[in-house]
Amino acid sequence: MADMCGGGTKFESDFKLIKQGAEAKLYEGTYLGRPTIVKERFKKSYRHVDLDNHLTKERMKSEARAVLRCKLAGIRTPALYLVDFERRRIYMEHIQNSTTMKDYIAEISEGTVNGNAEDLLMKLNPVAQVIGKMLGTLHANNIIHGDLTTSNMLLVKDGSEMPTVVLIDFGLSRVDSSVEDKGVDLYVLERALISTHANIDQLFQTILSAYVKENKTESQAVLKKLDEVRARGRKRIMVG
Amino acid sequence: MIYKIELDSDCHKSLAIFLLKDVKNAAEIKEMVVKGTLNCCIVKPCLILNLFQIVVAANRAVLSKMQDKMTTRKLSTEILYNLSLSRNITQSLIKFGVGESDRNMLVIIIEEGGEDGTDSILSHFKGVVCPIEELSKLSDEVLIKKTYKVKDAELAVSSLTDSIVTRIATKDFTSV
Repeated sequence: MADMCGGGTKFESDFKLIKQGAEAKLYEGTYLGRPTIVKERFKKSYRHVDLDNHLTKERMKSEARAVLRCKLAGIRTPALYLVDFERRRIYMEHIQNSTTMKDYIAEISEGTVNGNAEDLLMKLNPVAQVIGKMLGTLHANNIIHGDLTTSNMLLVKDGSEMPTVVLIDFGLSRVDSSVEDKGVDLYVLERALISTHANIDQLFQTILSAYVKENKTESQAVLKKLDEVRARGRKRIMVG
Repeated sequence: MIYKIELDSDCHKSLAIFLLKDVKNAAEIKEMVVKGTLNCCIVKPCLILNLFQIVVAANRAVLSKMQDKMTTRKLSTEILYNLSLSRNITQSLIKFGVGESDRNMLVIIIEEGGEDGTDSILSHFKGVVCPIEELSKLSDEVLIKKTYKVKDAELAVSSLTDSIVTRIATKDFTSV
């Protein structure tokens, strides 16, 4: 099987490497006639082979499960075309005409005169509403994304009045009903917003208020947890 | 008239799909497919919304065969099994496979790169080959939504085809 992942195969010529992360490589190309993204998880040479295979398989399963669960809940995610444990690849829909939320926010910020915060916030209000509502739905369905950043949300330019947001990269996601995990999920987003986008501290508040409307029953408990997490950081126990 | 597409490049196989109507010898065809004397897979058109649904199921079957990981014994049954959400083999084959009294059917032929055995396979069918576009008149959207358990909330954010193929791709380890 080694030659299938090696260099010089048909795959390497059909697909173009677009991103190399800590866990996986991302490729783009055409598969079965459709624009496709392939996420291939690395083999970790420092881990025992059986353990590595097992962990990879379980992570690929939870990633694919989260994508499907989101669809069932009414959250936009890429369609899946193939989950191949042998080659450690997930083949999925390449969302066309999209930008990452990160690039979109940066673009809007640049176009705002003198960095007027109020003006900027008004322009970003529609996407913030959609993001908050989406995250409320996510958590109401007990799906924890695990890596909520503005790079993992795609804004589709489809000309519709309401912004269309697609949630991607469920590599760290899991199904969990705990308020703790939901609080941490939101905290990760808040940190990501602060670190990547200056001058928009209010944006997270807008997202939160839309979140509360969508995830009514437990939002108070989640927000309380978020405050706790803010005070202590993302990890619950810090040893050493 | 026909639809043809290359499957995963590691498999060196292509897929051809034909739509046949007024087939008068469904029972005979079925027996030949089960015995393995006729090398194709026959599917009920009413449960197929879009040919991509078959492409994803067949591609997975071909890869499973190459990786020695098939759930059923033959490629033709593996395609039917993959199309179904159920992990029960018998039920899947009955649900998506053609019945003895069926007149309309989709014929799926997997070819090794280059070869063309379609004419000899199709010659056994006592029926009419129709333009593949006519599938849309035969597919039963209400039944398909029910079969794949797709609700309206999901259709607000996904096409029915995308919802179906995502289920097919993950059927081994998900339940809807």
